[in-house]
Amino acid sequence: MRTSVLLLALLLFSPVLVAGDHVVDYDRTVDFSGIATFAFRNTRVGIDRPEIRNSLVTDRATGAIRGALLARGLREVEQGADILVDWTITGQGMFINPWGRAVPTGMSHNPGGQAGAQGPTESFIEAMLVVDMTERTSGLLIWRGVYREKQNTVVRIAQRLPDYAGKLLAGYPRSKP
Amino acid sequence: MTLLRRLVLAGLVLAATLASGAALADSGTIDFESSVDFKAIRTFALREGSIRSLKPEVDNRLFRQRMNDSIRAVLAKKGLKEVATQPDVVVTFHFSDADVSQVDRLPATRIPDAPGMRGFVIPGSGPRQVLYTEGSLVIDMYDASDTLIWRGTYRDREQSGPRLSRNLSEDARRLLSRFPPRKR
Repeated sequence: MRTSVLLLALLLFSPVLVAGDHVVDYDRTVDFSGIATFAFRNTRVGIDRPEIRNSLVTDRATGAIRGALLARGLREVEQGADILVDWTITGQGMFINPWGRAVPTGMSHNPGGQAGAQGPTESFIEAMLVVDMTERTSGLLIWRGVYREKQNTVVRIAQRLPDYAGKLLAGYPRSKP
Repeated sequence: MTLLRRLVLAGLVLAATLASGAALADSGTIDFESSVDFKAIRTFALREGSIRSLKPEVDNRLFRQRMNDSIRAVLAKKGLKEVATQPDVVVTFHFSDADVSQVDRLPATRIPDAPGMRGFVIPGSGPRQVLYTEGSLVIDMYDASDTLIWRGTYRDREQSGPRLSRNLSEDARRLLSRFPPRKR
């Protein structure tokens, strides 16, 4: 009994990383069933670490978005696409100081090292993937998905990036809402 | 498990729930010009809202559209009609947010002796960082002379930007559910 209560208390009060969360918004006036083609425009990795800022990770994330759109019947074209797709991954490093307060760090600081002259090593990183779809003819943003997740390492974010994209694209409307 | 033990366990769970929820409690208030006859208001128009946020979840035209739809739906349900010219009231919203980092500490709790169970101490915990975003949603109504006659303010604290974004249209609905206001 005592053990179970203690375990319960530990579970409830221990610091835990918040699970990923996302939101998808889209233009309610657009008939998404009429959108047939897409093209990628800008992809950006805003985390200055070699584990994630490389073409392998970028290609995997782009591939996840491409796969989701192809599965919905859209076709990728090089010119004259109905929608232009952009995605950006950024990360905010947070350091838990000795008083327990989380303070932002620069993401290019001292990777893998100890807190020191170059600044503290982050205790966790809040990653944010933003996927935008813009109507080419009007230039209007018609779909946006934002995924946020706290992770311990940049490597984990790089691994999870296609999953983030997949979860966001699951919210792509199949027909006119 | 005896009844007493179950009660102790339930008490702990309740206390933990209350402790964790208290930090992220939401609050909504309204204020209004008491000399206005709100029941006489029949028509409205929406004015473009303002968003002061760096979060891509809310700083975009799609979020603005969702908020407008939410406001429109509540007012229509209350019998108000949206018109393009000469509305009785002009409705708009303002949104801003701030990221907050605070520290929680939980003191040790002593569970006293009870029949059939020896007392014990649940050790305190912390410091534990609590990160949240506080969003401030303001919905305003102006009369034909552009005088503010009704204001609803909702503070929503959420642990993630996406959750805050999702909840804000519901927050708008909650505020407008208190329209028309009861006389003071």
